[in-house]
Amino acid sequence: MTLRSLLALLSLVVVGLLAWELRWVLLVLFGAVVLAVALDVPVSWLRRIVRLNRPMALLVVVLLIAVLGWQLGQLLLPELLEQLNQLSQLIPAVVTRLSELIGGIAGLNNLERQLAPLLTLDRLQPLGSQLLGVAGGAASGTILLLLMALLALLLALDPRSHQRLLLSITPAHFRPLAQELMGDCRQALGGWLAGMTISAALVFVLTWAGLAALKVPLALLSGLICGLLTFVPTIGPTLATLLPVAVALLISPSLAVQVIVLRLVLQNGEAFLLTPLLLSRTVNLLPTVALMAQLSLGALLGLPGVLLALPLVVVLQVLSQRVLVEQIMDRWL
Amino acid sequence: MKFGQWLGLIATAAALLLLWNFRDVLLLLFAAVVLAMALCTLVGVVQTRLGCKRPLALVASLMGLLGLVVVAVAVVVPPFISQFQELLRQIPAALALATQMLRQGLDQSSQMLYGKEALQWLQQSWHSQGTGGLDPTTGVLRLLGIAGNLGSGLLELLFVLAVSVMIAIQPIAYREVAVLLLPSFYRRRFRQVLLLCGEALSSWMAGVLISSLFVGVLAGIGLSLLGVKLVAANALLAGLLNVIPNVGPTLSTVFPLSVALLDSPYKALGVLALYVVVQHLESYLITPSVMHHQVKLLPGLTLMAQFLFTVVFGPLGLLLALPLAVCLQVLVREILIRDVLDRWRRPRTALP
Repeated sequence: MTLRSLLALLSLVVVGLLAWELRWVLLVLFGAVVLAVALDVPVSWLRRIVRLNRPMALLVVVLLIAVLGWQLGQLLLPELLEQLNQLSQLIPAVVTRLSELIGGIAGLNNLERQLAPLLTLDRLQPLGSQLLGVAGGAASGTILLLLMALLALLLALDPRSHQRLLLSITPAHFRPLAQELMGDCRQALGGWLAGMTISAALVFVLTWAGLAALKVPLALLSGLICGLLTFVPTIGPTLATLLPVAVALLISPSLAVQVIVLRLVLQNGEAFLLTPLLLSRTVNLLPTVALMAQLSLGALLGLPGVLLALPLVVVLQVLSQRVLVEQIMDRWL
Repeated sequence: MKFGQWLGLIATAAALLLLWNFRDVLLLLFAAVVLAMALCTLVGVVQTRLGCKRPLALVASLMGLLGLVVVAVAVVVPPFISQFQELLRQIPAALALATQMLRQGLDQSSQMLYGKEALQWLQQSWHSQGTGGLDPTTGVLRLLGIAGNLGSGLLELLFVLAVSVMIAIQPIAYREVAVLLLPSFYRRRFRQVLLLCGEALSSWMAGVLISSLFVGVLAGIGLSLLGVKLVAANALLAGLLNVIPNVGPTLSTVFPLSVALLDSPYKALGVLALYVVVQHLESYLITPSVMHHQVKLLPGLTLMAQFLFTVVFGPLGLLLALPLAVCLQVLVREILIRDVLDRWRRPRTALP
């Protein structure tokens, strides 16, 4: 082993350790890449229809998204605000209703009585610092999100040169494969995002319609949350069901059961019929792999890791299929 | 060694470190695989008995298991809960009785040894120890901690169940993914090894099921003959804890012993004798005849495995120590011994 390769090896190890230390930054970077791909899908679609250069097309898409969001917000915001107001009034009622329901079980009253002094004692002192911590976390989270959006815009503005940059730091004999890999990853991510957007929109509309038909209050808000959380498979839909069920429980238990049945039907239809149908051409994920990835990334990186677990798995699957299996293991005779 | 080989070595080391970081998740995955293996065995039995297709057999066995659990819960749980509450109520009394007996014994011996002054000192120190350390707020905090643990435990249980059902739906797809991740010269052999592992696991599970049933029934009969209260709860506990060798039977003896101690010390002796006899019957008569001889683990190895996995993984590791040991045994025998060590010839130094 020569000195040159030793040096190269050492620097690679240092780079790996550095990447491990900076995994938060890498996560933000990855989020930006996902967002950029999400922007790139409509941009390239638009460019195929109308002859435009890329900045113009991106501008059109961003403006379109902003106008659409604004229109939707104007249409829905008053109702949404009213519903949010209603929600904040409803929460104590839900809690009391729940405690009434649970209060039937004898032993828990005792616990509650024991808990009451603790809660007031807890409320006095550290709440201020906790609030500060939450505010700080929210602020830094907003800054990170803004940074991510900005990065995504920059990436989407000129993806070719960023690709070339990434390509130029791979060894020459590896470059054709790397180019191909990047194209594959882009295609898989784009396909996944497009499929999930369609299914999330469908879930949103169906949940809204179903809840409105069942005459559950806060139908719009619940539908919106259910639709958004569809992007986090297995965990998200289950969490999203909690809000409409809690609201429905306030009216009557039978309504809550109806809501649960509706959500179960929608969720399973989405997970086992719609998503495989939409994703069958691009990505093929085993269901356990998604769940495992969410658990491991949650353990490693917390909530943002859980949110970004699925896109990461899509990319990792392409990489391990093309590099680990086809390039290394299949040739190892 | 060339640069590429060094790179591969370092990448492997990094991957191993990452896996070590995720060992809790991996243990949950292993639990899910064990459950899925049990489910697959059941599905196979149902399939051959009914002669139907696999999805139908899977649905039938899942429904059957669900029905069994529901029936068991409906029949066993209400009396079990009342008995268990009574058991929990009686434990402090039994403990008090035991400590009282212990104290009397100590008193008498200390009286014999040191005279009468030591007695009062001993009693004082005992009382000061007994009453301290029960602050109400710490009790509440501990309760909250237990509730939190229970919640996360419930989530983990749900996760394990979901993953095991998912694996049982299409086990071959998962096996092929695992096989694809290996070098192509080893894939065929590794598939064989995986199949052997599955066989060992399922035969181990069948053996444990039979011996647990046996232990539960024997303990129940013996306890009812002895006239100890709370028969159903204690028998169920003995059967369930039989899954964990060495530690479980000892733990399961504590409850009936304390209950019997309330009636009379002689009954407690009888319970102790009963459990020792049942335990020895199980470990020297039933297990050797039920377990396939391939799955048999040496008792010292079992204890070592339990200790090791408890240190590495915590309580869940203790619960899963035996399946892990069974799998590891197959892996070590097939891969390490047959494929590596048996073929290891001394390299010829004479060749240039």
